[in-house]
Amino acid sequence: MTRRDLSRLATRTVLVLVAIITLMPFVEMLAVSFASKSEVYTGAVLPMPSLAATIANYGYAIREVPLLRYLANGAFVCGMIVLLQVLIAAPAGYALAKLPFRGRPILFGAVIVALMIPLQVPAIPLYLAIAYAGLLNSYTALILPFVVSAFGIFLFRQFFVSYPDEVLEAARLDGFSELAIVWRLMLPAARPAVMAFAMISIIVHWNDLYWPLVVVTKTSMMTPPIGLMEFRSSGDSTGHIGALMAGGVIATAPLVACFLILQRHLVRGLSFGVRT
Amino acid sequence: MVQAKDLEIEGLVCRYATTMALHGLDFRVAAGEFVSILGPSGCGKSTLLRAIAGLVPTTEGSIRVEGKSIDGLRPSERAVAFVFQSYALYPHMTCRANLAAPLVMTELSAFGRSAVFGRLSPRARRVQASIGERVAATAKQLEIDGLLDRRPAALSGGQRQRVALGRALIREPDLFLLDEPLANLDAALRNRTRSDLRALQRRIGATTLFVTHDQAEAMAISDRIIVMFDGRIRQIGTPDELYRAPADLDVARFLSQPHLNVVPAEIVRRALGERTRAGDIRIGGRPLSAIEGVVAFRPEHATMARLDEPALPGLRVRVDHAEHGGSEANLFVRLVADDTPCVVRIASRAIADWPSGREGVLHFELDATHVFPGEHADMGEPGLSGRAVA
Repeated sequence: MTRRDLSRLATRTVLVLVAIITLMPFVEMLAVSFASKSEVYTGAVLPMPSLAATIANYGYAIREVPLLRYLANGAFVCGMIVLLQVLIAAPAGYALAKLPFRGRPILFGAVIVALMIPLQVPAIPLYLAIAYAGLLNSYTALILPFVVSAFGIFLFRQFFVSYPDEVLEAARLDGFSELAIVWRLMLPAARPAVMAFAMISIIVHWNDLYWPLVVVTKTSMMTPPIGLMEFRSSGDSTGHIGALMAGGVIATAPLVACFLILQRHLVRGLSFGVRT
Repeated sequence: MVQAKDLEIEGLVCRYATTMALHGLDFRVAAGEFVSILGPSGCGKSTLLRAIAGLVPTTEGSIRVEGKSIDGLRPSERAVAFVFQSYALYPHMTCRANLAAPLVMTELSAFGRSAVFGRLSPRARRVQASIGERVAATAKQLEIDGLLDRRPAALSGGQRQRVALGRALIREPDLFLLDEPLANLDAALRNRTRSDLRALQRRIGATTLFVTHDQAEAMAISDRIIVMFDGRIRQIGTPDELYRAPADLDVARFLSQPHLNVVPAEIVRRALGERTRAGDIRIGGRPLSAIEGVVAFRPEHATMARLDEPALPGLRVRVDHAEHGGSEANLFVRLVADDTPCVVRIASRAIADWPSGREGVLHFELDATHVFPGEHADMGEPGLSGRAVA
């Protein structure tokens, strides 16, 4: 074995260990969701699956809690957030990358600063504003605070900045408006970035517990994470650990599917740069 | 065939935050004329073209086409076509879509452009059909009809250049603006394309401005040439006028290959005066004794003679090296008097007669020699961007 083989082996061992540590909870969740209650409490690391227990667990989860409603809420909220974020971040990123105007460096600096402020900082004023507007327990309350994404603006700006200027000049001569340039030229060229951004944004907002917890109290408005929390804290779920895990599987599955479909773009999009 | 229009530029100034790009330009281009704008990089020639197209803002002055000012118009309203050095094709669109883009964007509404609504409206369908016909006709004219479904990345440089040309032509513009459209082609293709380009321009008759830094290219295809340095026009004239009567040392330098010979007048006077009566010799209408500054002549107007040849007086030089150039060669020499570098065009077969280090006598045709008073024989960058050192 050469030294290179050895170092490769070491790298892979570490990666496999990290992967196992990361995946264990999910494997456990899946296993418990397939097992009966008595099997879970035998103390085995991975309980034995059984079809009857699986049907019972998933059936209970779907019957007792409006899981499908949560999923639909989550999908709608994430979809709207991503759509509006792209609609706003793409033109903003284009302006910061390609349109010379007074104060542009300052605005770009402001975007970077905004990138570093966590949601918890403006959470209380935001909550008050939404409460005064009477928008608590609404989709607006779940979506509106996120439609302007500093990360999105920054990502698109970085992607657009390397787009060749002569093509933009050609477009202006050909009668493209500045917005037409964004939608018809920049975004198609930045597809990997759009995909990567959409993926990241969906992951963040699908899993977000903090903000829904702040503005939503009605079951009909809950997204999967807050719904699961409700399920857990509701009286009899402790006795139904298998059903609780089944709920977790159902809440996570769409995200995993989404990731598997888009992961190719995620990698391409994060290695910045436009291929022309 | 388009209705050719004339172009008039008056007092055009472009000033940016800190720098002045164009310092008040005035010129006219006649309808159907092919005019090159020639100058070293950074002289403002591309800025001038972009100002005419409306792509950069102008500070002062006016641009008129057929007597009508186009200053306030947006680029797309100016009826100018622009071909970029990089071709600037839309990378993710097919050639067909690239050619159609200027028509689609100006003739169809946002609804007409969309895949769904565009099919519903009979008017949009008619416009789309007419665009399709014009794309086909333009593609045929440029012999790119076989490439229409490919993307720019799948084309060669020459093919991309034709698509770019087609996208410009399809709008039937009043003005044709070309920004170094041949610079990215390899040498063989460049020469063929430049005559194709000129033939095409003659056929459609569009008034054309052609930006280049290559003097040979400008000389070869232009009706007239505008020479620019540092944001100012130094000379406007036919290729012949520029060659025979350059307005100043920079222009003369720029139009010489590989570079202009610039010799201090004092040295010429001494060399030629040694064996003749100075009063008899006149350069550029001036008697030799009254000449100050520098004397300049081109390599093709110089010849070499051996020291022992009984000939007219000339400049004593020592051979540095020779560069082979096919039937002719450039012999690089230095004046014995003050080491000034000069170039002499000689027949290639004569290279063997002039090994490095040999001394000889350089003669130059007095009729083709220019005098620039008040200039120094500072070499600058030979043949590229000799700056005036006043």
